[in-house]
Amino acid sequence: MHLGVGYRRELAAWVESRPRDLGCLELTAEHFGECDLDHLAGLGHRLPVYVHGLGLSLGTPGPLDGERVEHFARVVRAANPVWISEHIAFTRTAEVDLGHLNPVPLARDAMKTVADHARELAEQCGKPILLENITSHLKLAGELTETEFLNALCERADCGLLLDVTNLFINSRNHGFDPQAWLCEIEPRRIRQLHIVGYSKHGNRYADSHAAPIQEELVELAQAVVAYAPVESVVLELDEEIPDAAEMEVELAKLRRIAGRN
Amino acid sequence: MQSGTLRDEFVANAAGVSRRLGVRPSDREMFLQLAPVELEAQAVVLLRKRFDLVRRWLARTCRSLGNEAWPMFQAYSRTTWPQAKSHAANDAKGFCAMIDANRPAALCRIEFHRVHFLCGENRWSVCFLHAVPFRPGFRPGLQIFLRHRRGRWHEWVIFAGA
Repeated sequence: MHLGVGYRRELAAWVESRPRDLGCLELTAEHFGECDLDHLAGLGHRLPVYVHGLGLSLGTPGPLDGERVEHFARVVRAANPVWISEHIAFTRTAEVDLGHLNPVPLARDAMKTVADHARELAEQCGKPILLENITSHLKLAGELTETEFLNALCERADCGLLLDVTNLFINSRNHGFDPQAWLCEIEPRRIRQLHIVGYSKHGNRYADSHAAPIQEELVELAQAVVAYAPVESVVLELDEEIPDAAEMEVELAKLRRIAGRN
Repeated sequence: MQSGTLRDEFVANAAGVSRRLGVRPSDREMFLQLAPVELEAQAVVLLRKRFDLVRRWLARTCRSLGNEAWPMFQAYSRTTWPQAKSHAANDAKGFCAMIDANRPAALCRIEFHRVHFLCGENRWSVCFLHAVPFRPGFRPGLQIFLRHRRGRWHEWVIFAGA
């Protein structure tokens, strides 16, 4: 199992120092411009990489945004990742760019939209694709449960699941369900990668600020996922308040515990 | 989710909002089941993301506003959503207009001119600055912008010597 981090410029020196057990990098396509493509190729030669998307809006009905797909594909060509990934979400409608991930209804037509877009993206990039669960304060009802939706989606798109353990935990707290029971309803063979980062709390609501150290409950939930499914990679996904090398080592030690390496 | 006014109306009359938005009959039940508290919480997440992007363009201005920056942005963004593709710069420009009307002293003119230039189409622009921060104190100066092809641009600030 590869342990890694979402690559951020602030982490470049730490990555260069070749920390023990750092076995992969996740590159967010939207973080890189045209002039970064050589740098991406360098990263792709050093470690296995995955290219992750934020804004392709797979859940928006109609065609994908050609410009964004082309940029994503350029990053993929430069980095040559093991696989690519995007969120099960929409970030815009035909008229409005909402600028962030929003949940899609748990309905068959929405599932087909996401699945068909995922297939199209995978074909265009020539790489396998994983789809990621998001966190949302808004719970959209539908004809399917969330786990039925995810299983049907992976089946139709013929893809894997990037299970964001933090998002699962946050949703379970905000919407009142048991994350372990949720996990047991997901087809284990689909879960290939995990995302993890500490959660934040605002009042009585849990939030995904991508800024906190991983809490113990999250380590335990991630260990349960690893025991349940053939996970190939665990990626720490920090965006804000990126810590120094010593604290990164502490976080990497938590990933080792998740992977059963002590 | 993009309109605070509509969210308020949803609380008072969800069925009326459903009719006004032309929600499909098949989606109507799901729409009416939306919890206003959750809707508002999700909207705040989106506004916070917008604010984080705007803050990158208006770092000095937001520092000057201090704790007032986020509440002011919430007040501005509740009824305003940028339509253009250069989303964040347009949003910053809109927020600048609100700050200029309410707290002009907090507005950094260098940032104000920059977002205006970026949101426009002029090939070049020269703006007068009353007070360029220069230790110890301030000096008058000029801010010059030049736009290249493919959206690239350059900026220079020159100020009067000692």
